[in-house]
Amino acid sequence: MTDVIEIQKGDTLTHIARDRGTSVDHLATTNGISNPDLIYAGDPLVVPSRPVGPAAMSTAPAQPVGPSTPDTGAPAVPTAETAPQTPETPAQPEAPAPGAPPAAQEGVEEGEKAAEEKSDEEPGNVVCNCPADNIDDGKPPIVRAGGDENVDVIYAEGDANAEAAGALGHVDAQAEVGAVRMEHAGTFGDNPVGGSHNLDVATAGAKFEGGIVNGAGLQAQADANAIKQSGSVFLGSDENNPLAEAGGEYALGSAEAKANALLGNDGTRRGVALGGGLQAAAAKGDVSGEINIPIPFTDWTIGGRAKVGGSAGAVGLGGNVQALQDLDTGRFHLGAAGEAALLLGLGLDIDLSIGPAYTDRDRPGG
Amino acid sequence: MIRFSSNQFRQFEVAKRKGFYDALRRDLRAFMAKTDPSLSEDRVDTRITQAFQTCADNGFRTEKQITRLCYILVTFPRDYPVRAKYVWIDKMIKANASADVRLDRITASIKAGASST
Repeated sequence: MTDVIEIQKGDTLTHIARDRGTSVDHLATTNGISNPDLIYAGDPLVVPSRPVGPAAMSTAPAQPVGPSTPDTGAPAVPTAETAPQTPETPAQPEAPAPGAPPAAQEGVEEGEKAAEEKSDEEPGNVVCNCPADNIDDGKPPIVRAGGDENVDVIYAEGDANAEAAGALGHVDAQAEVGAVRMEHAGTFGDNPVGGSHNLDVATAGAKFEGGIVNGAGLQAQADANAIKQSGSVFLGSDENNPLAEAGGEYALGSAEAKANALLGNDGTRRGVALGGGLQAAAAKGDVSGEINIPIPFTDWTIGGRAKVGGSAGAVGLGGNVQALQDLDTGRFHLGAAGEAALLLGLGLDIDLSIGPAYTDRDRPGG
Repeated sequence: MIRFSSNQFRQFEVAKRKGFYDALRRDLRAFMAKTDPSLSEDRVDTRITQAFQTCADNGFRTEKQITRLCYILVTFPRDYPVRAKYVWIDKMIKANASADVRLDRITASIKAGASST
């Protein structure tokens, strides 16, 4: 029979082995202890049950633990004076091992064999063979009541960065709250045809970027929408760089303010840009189109995007021109946009670009 | 330079985690069909799920550790923590030592038991 005891402070395997009538070696082997001089208080230890006396022996099953003395038949309990001190002393009879189902031994062997092919990483850990700073956490911290990869429900997110970028630096701040925000995009199965759908319900957000390096730049935007929804269909197997895409968007109860300025290199953009605008509209909508033409033997594309919109119950005025390189994507952009509204409004936004293929579906304004 | 978005990484992680547990469950089912063919599919799956949960609750985190412990645990009855005969393994699983040390102790105990029978 075996017991499981808890190692107490001051215990040694030698003492426990003496007490239980077994050897240090056997205790170490049975418990997987590689260094018998190193055991820890609080750890469990599987040990043989204490030897029983003659009275008990009459009713208990014979389970000799120590060598019997010839006169009594009772197991000899080694004392401090007689107990084996070293493995060189005559071997003690093996203490019974802890109970285990018959298949457990097979489980040990099969498990060790199967584990050889497994990783030392946690199952969910993707081994990234690249510097940690190549992992671009594109999303700011978010608190939300629910959602999934593509949907946020009753959410609030905020982010603030002040990153060194050359001579002086760069700041970036954004915050958004809303009831529902969803984004879906993808191809239909393996076909080179896909679509996208975005929906915002009761959302409000503000973004600010600024930088001074070898030049100065500023981008600021604040908007709020009761409902904004957009959808598109595209040709191509890459949702980030569709060969051709056509879509539409509408918004109800929207308000927006924008500002854009750039001269030189602000750390994230290089070129010139100037723009600004204010608009509030009961309803507005637009249609848009985009093409992306791969340049053979490179990972670059030539892109063109245009958007034409109208609004009702609106008031607003705005415009923007820019010729710049986005230093995050590496793409060169040439764009212009304008809008004017007084009860009814019109807007136009055009962007031409060339450079490395897009890595997401975000697009700068014209 | 290749850049990965955090979203792409999350998808990789989810797929990798699911792939590992699905494959291990398949292997454990096959193992149990060999060692204990009398067990119903429901009981097999219950034991496997319990083994996964035991690993998660007790700091057996790497694929190797989870694999080793699960192969052992599925051979034990579902109520092993309350059976006097098997309570030793529950104590070893919960002992205050690294997962690898605990696994080595459990393995040694079972091997010692097999060699003495």
